[in-house]
Amino acid sequence: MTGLQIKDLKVGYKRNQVIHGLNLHVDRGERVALLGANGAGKSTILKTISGLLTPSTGTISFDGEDVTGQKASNIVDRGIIHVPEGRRVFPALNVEENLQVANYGRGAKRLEEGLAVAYATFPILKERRNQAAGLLSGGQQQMLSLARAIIARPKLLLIDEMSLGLAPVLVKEFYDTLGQLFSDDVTLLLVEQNAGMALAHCKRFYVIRNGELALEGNAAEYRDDPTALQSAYLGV
Amino acid sequence: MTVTDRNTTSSADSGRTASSALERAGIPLPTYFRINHILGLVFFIAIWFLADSYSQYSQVMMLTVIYAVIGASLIVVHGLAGQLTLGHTIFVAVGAFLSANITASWGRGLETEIPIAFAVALLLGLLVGLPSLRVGELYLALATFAIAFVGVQVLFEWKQFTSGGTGKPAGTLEFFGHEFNRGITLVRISLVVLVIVFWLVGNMIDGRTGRAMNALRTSETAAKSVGIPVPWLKVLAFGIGGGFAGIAGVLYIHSIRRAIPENFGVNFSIIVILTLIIGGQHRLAGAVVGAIFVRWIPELSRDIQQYEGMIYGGVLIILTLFSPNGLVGLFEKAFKAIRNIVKPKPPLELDHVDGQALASPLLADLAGPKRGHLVVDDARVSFGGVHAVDGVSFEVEAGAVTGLIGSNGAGKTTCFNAMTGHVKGASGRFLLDDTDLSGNPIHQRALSGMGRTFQNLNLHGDLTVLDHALLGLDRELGYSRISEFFRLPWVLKAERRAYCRAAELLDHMALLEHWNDKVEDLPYGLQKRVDVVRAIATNPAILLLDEPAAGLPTAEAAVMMEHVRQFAEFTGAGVLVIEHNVELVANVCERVIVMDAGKILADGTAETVMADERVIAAYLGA
Amino acid sequence: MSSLIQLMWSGLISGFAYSLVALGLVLVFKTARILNFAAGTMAGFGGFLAYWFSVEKGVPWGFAILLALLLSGVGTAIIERLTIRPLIGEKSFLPIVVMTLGIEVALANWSLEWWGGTAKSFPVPGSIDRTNWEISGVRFNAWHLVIAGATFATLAIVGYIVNRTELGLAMRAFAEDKEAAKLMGIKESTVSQVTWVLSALVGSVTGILYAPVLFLQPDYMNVIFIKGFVAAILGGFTSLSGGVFGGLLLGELEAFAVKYSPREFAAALPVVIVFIILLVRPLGLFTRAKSHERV
Repeated sequence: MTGLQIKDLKVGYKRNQVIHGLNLHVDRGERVALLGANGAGKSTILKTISGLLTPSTGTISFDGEDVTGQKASNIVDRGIIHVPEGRRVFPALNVEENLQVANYGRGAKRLEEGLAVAYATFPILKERRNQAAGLLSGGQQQMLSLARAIIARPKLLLIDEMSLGLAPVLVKEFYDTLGQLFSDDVTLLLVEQNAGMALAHCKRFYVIRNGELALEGNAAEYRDDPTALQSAYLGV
Repeated sequence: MTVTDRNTTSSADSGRTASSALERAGIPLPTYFRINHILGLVFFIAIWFLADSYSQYSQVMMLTVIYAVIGASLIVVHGLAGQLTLGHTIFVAVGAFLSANITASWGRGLETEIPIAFAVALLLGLLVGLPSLRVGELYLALATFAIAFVGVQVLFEWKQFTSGGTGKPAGTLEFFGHEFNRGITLVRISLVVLVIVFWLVGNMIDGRTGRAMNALRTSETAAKSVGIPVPWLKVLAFGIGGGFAGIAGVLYIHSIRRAIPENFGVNFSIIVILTLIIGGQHRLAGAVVGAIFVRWIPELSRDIQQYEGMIYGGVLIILTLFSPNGLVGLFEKAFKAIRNIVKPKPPLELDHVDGQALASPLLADLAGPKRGHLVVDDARVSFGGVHAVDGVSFEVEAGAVTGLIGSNGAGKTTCFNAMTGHVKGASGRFLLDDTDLSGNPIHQRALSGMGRTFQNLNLHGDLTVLDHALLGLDRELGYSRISEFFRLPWVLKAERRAYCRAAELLDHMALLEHWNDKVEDLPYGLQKRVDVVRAIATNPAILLLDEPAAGLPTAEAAVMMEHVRQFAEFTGAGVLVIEHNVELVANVCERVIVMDAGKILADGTAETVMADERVIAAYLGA
Repeated sequence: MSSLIQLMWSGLISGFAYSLVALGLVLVFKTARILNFAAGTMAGFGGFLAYWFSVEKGVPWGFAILLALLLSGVGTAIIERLTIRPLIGEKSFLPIVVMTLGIEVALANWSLEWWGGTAKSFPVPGSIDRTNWEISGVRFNAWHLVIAGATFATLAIVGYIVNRTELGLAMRAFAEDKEAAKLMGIKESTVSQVTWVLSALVGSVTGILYAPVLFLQPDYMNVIFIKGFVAAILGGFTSLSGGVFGGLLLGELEAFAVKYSPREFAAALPVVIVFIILLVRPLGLFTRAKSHERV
């Protein structure tokens, strides 16, 4: 089985279960959105996939290989790349160093190629290659974050709240170029609070509420009227 | 969803006394004598007579007792207030050399040595504690380590005070002119000092200062938000700890007869820390257990004495890896485990949740005129270029229940933080009931009437539910810290009253049966209620609730809001609620303010706001 | 004038020691948020190892030093793996602080057992530690020049590793944002180990350099270690270069204080500095983090 398969996932600490038994899948090359209100557990799911958190039970597999509970660095080696919420660039390192980190352990040649692609896609990063990443604007930091993802050559890309804190115009731009940035066999799982944006660019979606699956379906049906999702979001 | 009144007759039944909630829960009232006193008495009598029978071990015994006193003093700073200090023995040094100098120069005895050592060491402690106001835990450890190390160097150079390397002899042991031989008498004198120090510290632990220090150890943020003067308490902890260590120093030099500054260096500091790590740092008994362990084990064999240092190091390493709360902690865990087998506690369930009337005579004074008139004028908060709160202004009437909603990152919690003082660099004016709070530190704003809960709860992990309510009542207690040490009658009376009130408050929030549970053991839903009860206990003019229903199943969330609504109605205080669940907010709040990207997007009744196109767009995206 | 230069030179020589110690401490602190209280003893161990190889085992001097460094590195790697690594991820700092204290005590007593309590002199080839040159009234000890040279070399090497290698980049990224670094494929265990070993090597170099100056006695590096701490505080504990400059500054201040003020004050100088810095300008991660603390 290819793609991402999550079966019966439970995540929590001590008595606080945050995710209560989740099942979802993303086929190879598919784009799926993970929607839901704040605090529903979407970020927790991504962090568990990428290894920052360990599940209590359940399995996560990608391209047939079990990656449940492994260390984050191992999971990165398998091509699962997580772009975390809030960009999380390294503020004191300059732009180019941030890009270099994304190429950790892969060799100079890959770095050269990666940098070329990154700078070609985001020329402004090339302009500011020696500037400390902390001084970039929110939008530029998001570019840097995506550029890091490009360099990492993901097979499965997890993006957490790309739209957070960015002007709507910028968000639209990012989403529009998402297709150009990653080829068709990169599997994409997007967490978004902004349902409209996500639905416009994804094929399927899941709505998470209180750590459980509240609704799943095809994006096409809801693209024109995201408000119909309101009840799934809010539990009304 | 129905809210059922529990079958309470507290208001209707004239036969019921004011302490009904307390009695129903079986909460013991504070008393003068506690079980620890009995243990202490037994220990005292035992050692008093053992000192005579085993006089050849006098030296070891007196050192054990002295180490226990030092351990107790360190518990005040570290176990209680949570400040990492690695140079505690400098205070023992100061006490020791003061003793030697006083007996030599003034010819006075213990009656002078002890008070002066206490006073000087206390002042020194206050000074050493000052850096704790500015730097965090780890840095403080470093600073205290450096201070103590260099302190020893300074003492070494100060030949007049310490005679440098030749060592200063202890004076004669006398008390008001009566001279004593060392040996058994010194053991007994040390024992008396131990009992007195433990009594004083024990009273503090059971009083408001002890609770406040425990609170600041486990969550400074939350402690400040209930009005606890955290900075002052930190420094005070150092002072008190230092003072008692100074007293131990007086006894110490009398017992070893001659002291050089190097005695009090790094190795001694480490032994003292080891005492608490082995014994247990959160209970006074730990100081005794640890002292016995540390002083008696080397006695068992010569070989052990030779490798003392390595063994200490090894023990430190092993204990750190396997048992952070020392022997006493291990004992307590075993005790609990046995008790669970004998009388198993039912697993904590998110049980039936009932509404509960606040109509207890004890809480009658909570009711008051409508208050909580809040004015926010051009609030702005920026984090490195991101304008989290971008010119927010609004005004809330006294006694109003208002909702604050918005999507993730809209700036709601940051807005709260600007109001309560939890974020630095906020600009704008904040007035509460016509008092200008702008720029005041957190605990002062809390004392002015701002109560709040937190998105991540910030509970005090190893404290009980009852403790949390008592913390909220801290400002009402009003007795001075000095009377607390001696547990004077009015202290006990105030404590009892607080316990009763706390019980009533727990009853209101349906937490009464969990009064003695540590909050870290509770399920999430109950923890959220504890966060609320702590805030309510401060009797705020306005209650700021940060997502009180988040993560709760629908039924519980509704009841939580109902608790809050009743509280507001009863007390006349204002309520401002951040929530994501729009429907929940609509049921409870007359007015809803919507934030987006740091600004206010809409403001009106729940219906108008929910129908507003811009709000729908912001929430769900177009 | 020449006495002024003499004074400044001697201040510089002690300053180098403090700088090196500060370097080691800040390295560990930046990446692992740990204060290594065992650093002084570990540094001293390096000196003792070099002594042991060269004097008691008759190994040629240069090899003795290399062996000592090698053993320090390997030993530290083992200690790190066994005692520090399990504590990664602990919420409170206390366990780690206590752990390093435990290591300190154990090591200190072990070295006492092994090498006894008497001070030993550390022989240097050609006795260059006794060679002095005079240039326009200023006396330069040959070994001090070696210290200066070695310090520069060490600083340059560490600087190169941290700033120009991928490993150094990983360490710096890790120091900034642990979670984000993990998401780049950086292993926490690798960073921890490399940091500790590098820090220990710097410490051992310091211990060996200053063994001829201070004589090998138990705890001989402890005083330097404390002052290295102070130097790191001066530099704000977050910047490597800050710690280095802090060390030099402290060395100079101390030299002047010893010459021109009473002994007690000179001894108290480090504490006074700590106090002033902490109260007036406590640069450092803790204060910055607090202002952005989200509740």
